[in-house]
Amino acid sequence: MLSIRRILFPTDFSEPAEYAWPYALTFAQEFGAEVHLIHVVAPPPRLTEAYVVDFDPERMVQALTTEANASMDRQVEAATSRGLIFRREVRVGVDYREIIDYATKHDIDLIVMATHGRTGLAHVLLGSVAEKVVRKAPCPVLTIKHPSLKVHMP
Amino acid sequence: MFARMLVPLDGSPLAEGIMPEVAELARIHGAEVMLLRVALAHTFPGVDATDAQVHAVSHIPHPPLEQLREEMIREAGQALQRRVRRKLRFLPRAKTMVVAGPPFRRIIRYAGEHHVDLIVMGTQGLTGLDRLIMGSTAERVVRTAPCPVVSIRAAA
Repeated sequence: MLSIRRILFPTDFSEPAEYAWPYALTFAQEFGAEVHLIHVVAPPPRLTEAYVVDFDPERMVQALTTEANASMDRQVEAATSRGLIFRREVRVGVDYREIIDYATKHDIDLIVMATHGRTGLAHVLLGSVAEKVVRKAPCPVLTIKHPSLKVHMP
Repeated sequence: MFARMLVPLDGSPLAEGIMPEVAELARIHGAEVMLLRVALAHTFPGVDATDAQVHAVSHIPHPPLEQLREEMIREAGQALQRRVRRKLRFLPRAKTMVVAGPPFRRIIRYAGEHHVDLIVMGTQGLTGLDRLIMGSTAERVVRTAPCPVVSIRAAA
């Protein structure tokens, strides 16, 4: 029997992700599951000192991490009435790899995510992150497509 | 949230192995479950007779043969029902259907025509020889489905 106790919701705070969020909440409520939010910050580019005068990669990552935590906190705050347990984490690295690693390490039972993200090119039917997560996830993955990206099949 | 769930099957044990997950999801959502067996024109011999049967009679536009085709599809549907009945015993209302044609198109068309709210499918079917590669049908469905899709990789 399937028991879903931990749901992972990867987000890049884009509109498609926002659209997918209620699905994660609904599943969590129905299964009595914890909701784990994860945001992955891309590693900063390595720049040689000769080019850059005033760029501090550490600070940039720190700023992005702080911002992401704040955004996730706001998201969770707005959903407190549902009586769910939330956890959130920001990681630095390659998006799909961090998502899959988190899912494996934290024994995630279901991943709920949007098919596209911030760089959602409409003519691409499935975003690269969602595609890789679906292929390699250690658990089932629920993919939600933003209505504006829906395809009309002949 | 999900009133109608569609479960595409290709006759492989891997695809049918996701039945426990389907049953649980359907139970929780109080959803109607539709199992759609799409019979391919080309198949691996000996895996499942449905494909060969449907293929044998689907290409010839001759009335008595068309009737035979209908019968075979109906029989294949009943055989499917018997096979999965055990796994779906908590869902007595699960419907089973067998259609012939290109799998991805039939699945998407069916989902659209029947206002399906959720598609649940295994990602490796008949040609899932390499566990790291997702089946092409599952990938196409995830890309173009008119509704959310739960993709389940077969257990190791």
